[in-house]
Amino acid sequence: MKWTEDLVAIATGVFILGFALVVFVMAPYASASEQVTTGSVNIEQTTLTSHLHLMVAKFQKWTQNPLDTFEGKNYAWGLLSLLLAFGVLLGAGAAVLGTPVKKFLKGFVIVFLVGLVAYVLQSQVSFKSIGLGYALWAIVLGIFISNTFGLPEWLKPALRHELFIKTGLVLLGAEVLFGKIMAIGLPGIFVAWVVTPIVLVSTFWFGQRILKMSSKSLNITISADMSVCGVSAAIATAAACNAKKEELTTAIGLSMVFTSVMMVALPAFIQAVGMPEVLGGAWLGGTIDATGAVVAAGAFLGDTAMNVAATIKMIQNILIGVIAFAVAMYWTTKVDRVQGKKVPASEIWNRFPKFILGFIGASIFFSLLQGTMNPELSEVLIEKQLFGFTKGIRGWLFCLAFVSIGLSTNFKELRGQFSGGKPLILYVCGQLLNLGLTLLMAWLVFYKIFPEITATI
Amino acid sequence: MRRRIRNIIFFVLILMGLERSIVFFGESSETFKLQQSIILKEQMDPAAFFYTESDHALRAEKKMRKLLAE
Repeated sequence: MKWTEDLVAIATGVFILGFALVVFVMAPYASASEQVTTGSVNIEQTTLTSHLHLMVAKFQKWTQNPLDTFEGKNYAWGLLSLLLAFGVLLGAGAAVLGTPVKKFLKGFVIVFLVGLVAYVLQSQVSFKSIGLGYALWAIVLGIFISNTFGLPEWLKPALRHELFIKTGLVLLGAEVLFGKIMAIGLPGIFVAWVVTPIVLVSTFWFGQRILKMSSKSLNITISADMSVCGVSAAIATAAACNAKKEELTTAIGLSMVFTSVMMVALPAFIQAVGMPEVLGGAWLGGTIDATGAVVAAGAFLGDTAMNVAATIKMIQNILIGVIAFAVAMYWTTKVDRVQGKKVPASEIWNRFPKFILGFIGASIFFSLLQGTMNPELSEVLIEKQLFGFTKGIRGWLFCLAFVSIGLSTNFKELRGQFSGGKPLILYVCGQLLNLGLTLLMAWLVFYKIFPEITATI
Repeated sequence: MRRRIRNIIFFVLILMGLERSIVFFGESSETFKLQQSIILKEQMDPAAFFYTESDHALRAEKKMRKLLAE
């Protein structure tokens, strides 16, 4: 069997998830089950689990002095262990793909350190308050470093952004729990699962037919990032259609800027026009890209709006697996094929981005696991313990990928993406359609079709 | 070398300028100020991009389920 980046990503992702499953779910399962029958579940941390959580611990907020971010915990020890763990796992992956481990590790230390600075910048109080996350900082720092100091040859073997992203996506798949889609009943599905694909397809069509964008992959990445859930959707879609790194950077940049603006402007508008909280919350949840920004915008209107907004957003988050799969299929069977030629099934299989199978497999496995477990046990063991670890690892993998993307991006090439302003026009027009359709659908389902559910909320 | 030093100074100045403008908007715009105070008080993380990264989103889902089940 020939090892490809996709297969290595699946193997690495499955290894991390399997390890986390044993340590965080299987090991404490017996004692946790006993506690369920006697009262609330309280998991005692072992030396291993405490250390694993320390490896991915969130940094403290800081205002003036960046070093304040490392106060309160032994972050140095955790970060060193994380660097070693990544060095072993990703180094082995790179070796399988033909990069000598020594060469990979030499550059990887730098990539990791730049990623660390990105996380430190994310923890700055003002930057954090408007949602400027590590993804943006990692790309910005990478571009700044490579365009100021140049890119030395010894650093290049460590810039494996596709391996980092695809491994991160397999881990993200585990967090996509299909049981969550009924959290708010049918109105949630209508707002999140009906409007979103319509907006996605319409925006893509608009980009191709009206704007005549030359890159289909840039078009679909921006369309998915704007209509589904921002950065995570952009990453998944870009990987599914094999978009260029500059295209992913453009989509993420647009999403972050507009999220910061909409997070403040949209709730202010909702309040000014006196829109009901449930409607306002559903509108926010269906339109603002990032979950954290949705929560902040909803909280501005009140508790009910925040709860509705966050739940709608969560249901929309679950959609990314379906979207990534659909985009991968469309690209394999339609976009990448030679005009007029029929593509045999074996060719479709060869071209299909296999990491999507790891993503969907992880999602199905953990959805089934969560569905069969006692809800209280599932909340403590899977959502808090296991995801508490894997989401940290996944975040770091994305961060390392963005650093790699930034380091290998030429500023002039990136500027070329914006020629004619088409990506910006696409995002704005798509978002306007999203705003209109989501508001209409939210009003219809929450006030005309299912008013009894709205009354309960 | 001069270009590198100039770029570093420029980059640090941009970061400082961005931080100061966020603080300025936080002080001058009532809407922005109110939202920032909610974010700080409730310890929210607007940078969280997936629902599992936001404790508030996870809590909200449980509240909604409970409300609708009652």
